[in-house]
Amino acid sequence: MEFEQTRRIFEKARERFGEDVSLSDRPNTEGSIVVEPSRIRDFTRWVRDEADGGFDFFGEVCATDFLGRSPRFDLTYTVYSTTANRHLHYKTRVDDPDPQVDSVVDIYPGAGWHEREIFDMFGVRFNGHPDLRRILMPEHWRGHPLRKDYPLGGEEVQFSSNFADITPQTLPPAPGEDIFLGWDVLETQPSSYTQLLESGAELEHDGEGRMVINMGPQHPSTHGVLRLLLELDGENVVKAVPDIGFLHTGIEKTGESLNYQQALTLTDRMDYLSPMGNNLAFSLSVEKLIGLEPPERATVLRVIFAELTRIQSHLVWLGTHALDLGAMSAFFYCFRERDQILDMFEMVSGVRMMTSYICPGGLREDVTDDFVPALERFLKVFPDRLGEYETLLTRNPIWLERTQGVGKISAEDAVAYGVSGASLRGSGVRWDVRKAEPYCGYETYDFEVPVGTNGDVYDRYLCRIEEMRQSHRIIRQALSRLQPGPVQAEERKVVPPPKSEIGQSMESLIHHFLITTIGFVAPPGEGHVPTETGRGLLSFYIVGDGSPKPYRMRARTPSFANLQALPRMLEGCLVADAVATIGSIDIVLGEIDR
Amino acid sequence: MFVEFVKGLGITLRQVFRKPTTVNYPEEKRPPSARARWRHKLLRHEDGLERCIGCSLCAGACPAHCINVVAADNTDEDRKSPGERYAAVYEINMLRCIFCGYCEDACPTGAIVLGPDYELADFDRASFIYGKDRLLVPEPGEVARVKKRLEEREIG
Amino acid sequence: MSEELVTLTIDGVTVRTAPGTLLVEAAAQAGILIPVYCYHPKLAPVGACRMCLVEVEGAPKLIASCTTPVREGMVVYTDNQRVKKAREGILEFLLVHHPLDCPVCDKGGECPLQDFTYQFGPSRSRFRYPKRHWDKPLQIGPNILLDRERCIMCFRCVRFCEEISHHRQLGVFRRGNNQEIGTFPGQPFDSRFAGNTIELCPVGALTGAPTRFFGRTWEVGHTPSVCTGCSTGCNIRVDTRHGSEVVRLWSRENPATDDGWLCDPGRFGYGFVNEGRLEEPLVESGGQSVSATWQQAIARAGAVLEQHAKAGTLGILASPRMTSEELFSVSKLARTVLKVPHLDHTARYVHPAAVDLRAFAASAGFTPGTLRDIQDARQIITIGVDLSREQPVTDLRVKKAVTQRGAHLVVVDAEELELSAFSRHTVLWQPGDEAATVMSLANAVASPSEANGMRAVGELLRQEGPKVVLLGWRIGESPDAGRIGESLAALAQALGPGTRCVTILRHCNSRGALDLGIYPAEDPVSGRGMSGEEMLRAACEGRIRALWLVGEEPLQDADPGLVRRAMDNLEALVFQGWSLPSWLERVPDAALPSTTFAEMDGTFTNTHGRVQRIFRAIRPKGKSRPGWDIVNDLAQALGHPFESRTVEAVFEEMCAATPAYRGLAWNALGVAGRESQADSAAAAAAAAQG
Repeated sequence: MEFEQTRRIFEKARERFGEDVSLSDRPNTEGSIVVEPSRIRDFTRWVRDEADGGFDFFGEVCATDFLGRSPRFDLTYTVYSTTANRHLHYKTRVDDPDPQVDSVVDIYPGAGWHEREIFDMFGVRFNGHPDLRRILMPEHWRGHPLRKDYPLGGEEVQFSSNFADITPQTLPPAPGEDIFLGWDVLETQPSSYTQLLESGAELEHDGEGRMVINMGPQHPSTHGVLRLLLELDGENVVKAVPDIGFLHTGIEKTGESLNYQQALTLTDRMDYLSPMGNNLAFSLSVEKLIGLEPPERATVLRVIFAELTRIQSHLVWLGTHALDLGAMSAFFYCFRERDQILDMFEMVSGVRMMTSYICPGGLREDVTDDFVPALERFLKVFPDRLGEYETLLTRNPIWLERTQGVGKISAEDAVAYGVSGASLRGSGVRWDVRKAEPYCGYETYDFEVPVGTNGDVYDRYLCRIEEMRQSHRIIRQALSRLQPGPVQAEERKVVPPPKSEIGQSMESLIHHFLITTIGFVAPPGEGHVPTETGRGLLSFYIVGDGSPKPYRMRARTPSFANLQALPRMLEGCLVADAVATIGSIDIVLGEIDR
Repeated sequence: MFVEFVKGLGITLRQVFRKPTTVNYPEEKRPPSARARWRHKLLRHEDGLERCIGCSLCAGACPAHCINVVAADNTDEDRKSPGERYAAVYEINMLRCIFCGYCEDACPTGAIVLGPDYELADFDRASFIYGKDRLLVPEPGEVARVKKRLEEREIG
Repeated sequence: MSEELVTLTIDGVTVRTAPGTLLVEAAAQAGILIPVYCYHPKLAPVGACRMCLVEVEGAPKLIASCTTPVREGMVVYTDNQRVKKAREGILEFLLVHHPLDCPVCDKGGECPLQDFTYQFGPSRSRFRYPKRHWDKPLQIGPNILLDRERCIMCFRCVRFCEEISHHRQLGVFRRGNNQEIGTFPGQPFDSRFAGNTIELCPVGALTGAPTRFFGRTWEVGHTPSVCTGCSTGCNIRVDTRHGSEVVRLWSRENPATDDGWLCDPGRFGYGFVNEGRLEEPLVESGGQSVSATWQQAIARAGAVLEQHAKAGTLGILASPRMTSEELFSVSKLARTVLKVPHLDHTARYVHPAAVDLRAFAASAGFTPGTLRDIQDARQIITIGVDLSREQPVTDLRVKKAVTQRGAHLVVVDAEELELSAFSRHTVLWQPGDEAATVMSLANAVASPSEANGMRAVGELLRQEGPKVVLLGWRIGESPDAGRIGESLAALAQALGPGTRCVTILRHCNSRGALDLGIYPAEDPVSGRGMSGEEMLRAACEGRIRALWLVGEEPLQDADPGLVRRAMDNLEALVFQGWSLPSWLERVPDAALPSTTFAEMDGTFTNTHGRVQRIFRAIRPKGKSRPGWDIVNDLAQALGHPFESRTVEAVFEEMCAATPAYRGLAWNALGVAGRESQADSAAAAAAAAQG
């Protein structure tokens, strides 16, 4: 999305909304339209239905706390068009005290959880939100962690000199030691969640077989620490309420306290099944902020690793999904192939999962000599292996019984909830960021975007299987394009100089010293590049302030949005189908809770 | 319907004749990558002096802030490293370390390197604070792997 | 503004500024950064480094913005291609001989040479030849190491020595490639202001010997605080590691107290925080000190205090290096719980009239002044104070007033002082003759006819202009301090109304101790208590049998023989402080470890009455606790628990109870402090009397 496009939409908005909209043209950005908070609902409806053909897909809304500025908070909405292949940022600004704005959840149902997250993390109220309560932090938490005046906290690192002085912190803090004293406990509205809990207590005794059960957070088939509250009528799910936040690690907050290359290591730990995909999304956003182009070889290798990551992520999904539904062999076979990919990751980066290999400016270092032969070995065997999995499952009657017609979601609902990735395409929406808004030169690769028709568990399964084939195709093409060359950009103010120089050149030594320790400086502005990981739309929204640290590091993660649609998919299902449905949307709690 | 089951069983049966991909850990171990990023080592120069000059660049690069360096003056009587400065204290809190390898990237003398040893389990917190006694290699000239790695990263 | 402003354009931004402003300053006012090395706002411009070159329309060549004043209508560019190229060139030259030392250099990470190279400089070297080498590092003074290879010849250090400290100990030697900074042959760089050159040096050429390899910016925490070296109240930044060790003190400019400088005794005098600490409570057992729990020690101390307070044989000495909150708590315990009148903050002899030096000066008719008044004064008179030793940073202020503004300095003391070199006149007194000498001076000022050899100084002081008298604490030691009071009154009369007087006290919170009444004053109920010195004498005679010694400073100033005899005669001693005094031979009945300034929050009041906050920078060592907290426990043990349980509450209580501090609020003190009400109150009292 170019600034000019934003300007064009803005001009139309001007005709409609007059002085209530203005154009933000911070440097290095795509630009965004700033809307008066009072018109946010009108504007959102206009954006969805009319603006430039309409933006049907709700990406996210995220907040930034510009402490000391008035108005204090920026709310940035990002919406996409699944038909016209573009996206739009628009903002509204709200101020202390008691910042509030109208909710857009009835216009875009997908805004529901994003608005709750902002309420939780920034204390901005969304009027008209049906279920406004904390989402990641526990309900008794004090304050709003992502506000800039909220202390980072944390436990000091122990060394021998201070070992005895530091005792591991516990939460909640002991009386009198509460570091968050002065922050009010948030008043929450009576919620469907609490209502469900209360009604659960009664329902268990109503004698009609209705009851509320907890599924998770310790449950093998919730794929992590997901807790589902299921209201059941016999075996049938009447209502499902996901409860998340058990794995919340404050990645966005921590990112603000680290410099850009250090923050990169946090992204590995978000979606731990797709570290390279996260590295890539983060690096692209930072590069966009700086205005940096990685060299050709780095870009081609990035594509190879992004696709390998997609395959290995899908392999974990397939293995565990099949295991959930009772097919054990597939699990072993998938992990066998995945290990081959992890071996390659270890080969190039030194570790199997937390790679931190793709970095702003290119790659940490070039691939090893034995990488390409290993990759070719893998590419050779993989299609056959994929065939084996399909033989095991695709026409297996038990598999069909468990997946077909289960966990259905319509195309309209999926788009409205902001579901992305194969979970969206299973419902027949042909929207893949690699095609819609290509990055890393994906437009030059020849590949198909598979779609389903029914939007059930089985179609999502088929989509992912086919995606692995397509990834295999892309890797083959990329490998043929791989030419020798540098893998890091020739921008010495961002990429540290080669180590051989720092023993001779004062300039190089200074740049090495500052970039590796204090970090490279990114200009004020915003960087945002949508990418497609194995799970769907992943984008980082980086706000730079001219310092070496991101002022705001927001991650719009696909699992978060996809999980939001789960209650919709579960309506009318059997409890056993919940297991199949959770498996089919392929969530990773690490990136949901961040 | 029955055909599909038989096909599936055929796949599983075929595995019996394939070479197993698993190893009998811990009796057998798979070879680590040449770039393996696990337990740290502090290297020495050929003449036995420590490479580390106590500059704390590793500590600055560390996203987990798990490195503690306290520098001191070298004297001619008791020389630990070339130049003015050496690390009197060099500690890594292995519980905090995320094994990203940024310390290795930052080190201007190629002193701190991450190696292939990944079996780091222990029993109490204190024993995860690795000091120079455990990090510093006793002999100059580490194994060939490390040397090759240093050449690869263009450090003399 | 009566002055016409000059309007100019810098990078398209219109700037209006006072005439005579340098371009670099005008740019800074407009928020435009021009890199500089030799320029420093407190030093005269030299234009040596060429880093600040800018393009001015109409000028054929680039111009050094640090030496060029603004002109009406000037059009300046600071970031066009020509300027950028020039900067790159300058930096390339500076780096040609710069050693590859960043990893071992103390400046690395907070180095302007690094920062500007990253921001404005080239990222590759073209220089392929061997670098110049010198021996290094050279220890050129007790506190300073010189690395000549790193020097970029900005001359800031040399200029500081010439213009600010006037200790001309550094010079520039040789020329061209061999140019170097150095000391004069055989002479060390031992100025007591040498440490400031470490801060001024924009590279790592001058580094501190005591703070060598203290750590890197990313390992070091910074906490605002106040120097405890003397009563100036210089603002400092405490640099710490791991929250457990103080590694460096750095200046933190506050125009009201320090004017941006520190002295070496203050800058490097933080060793007592890290070493030799009393880390756990001790109690006496069988003639030995044995470690005890806080409970045991408090119980023991409480018992001693209670027993002797009842018997009327308890004396209390509280250190003027403690925070006001600690002093207030001690005083509150003494006055309301123990009901002991014998409370003082020093055990040296002080003439009763001059115990409260500020009241002494006010009753002589002087208007209370502040250290800042020195910079506006026409005439400065120091009486009985050697500023260079007692308040080095104030000495710099006086030198600045004399050399940069032509103020007149008159030194009145027993001998020629360092500052005499800057004075128009030095009036010497013979010991025992102080009062008469001051009276003669007053007469010389008052009437020209009575100018007994002081005609010139009399004439000088008769001139119009703001006058400041700096009065030293040693005045109070004079046996005829009462008569000095009369002489001072005559002098105040002669100098005219509005003459400001700043009393130069001894310790960092001596003023706080005075404000809080930690001295034997007339008490309506119990009569006058004993002074510290009287307590020691009484101890020798057996009338005082127990001493609660809070900090060792009160005894440092006393006659050592007297202290020894008193200590030997005491029945019981309760010591509270951060380290056991090395001279202390007897085993204290209880020793209570308290925290130093680095480990707690609190306030100090500087010599002229500015209340400034200190902030906790490191964890308390061992089991030590802030003094006010210990006193709270004692009060509890004595059955009279205090209500204030936090330092903030103690402060609020103190402000409510102390006229001088009325109206102060904890959160409003900020990091720069507030002037107390003491001055206006004293001034009002003086006015009422007069």
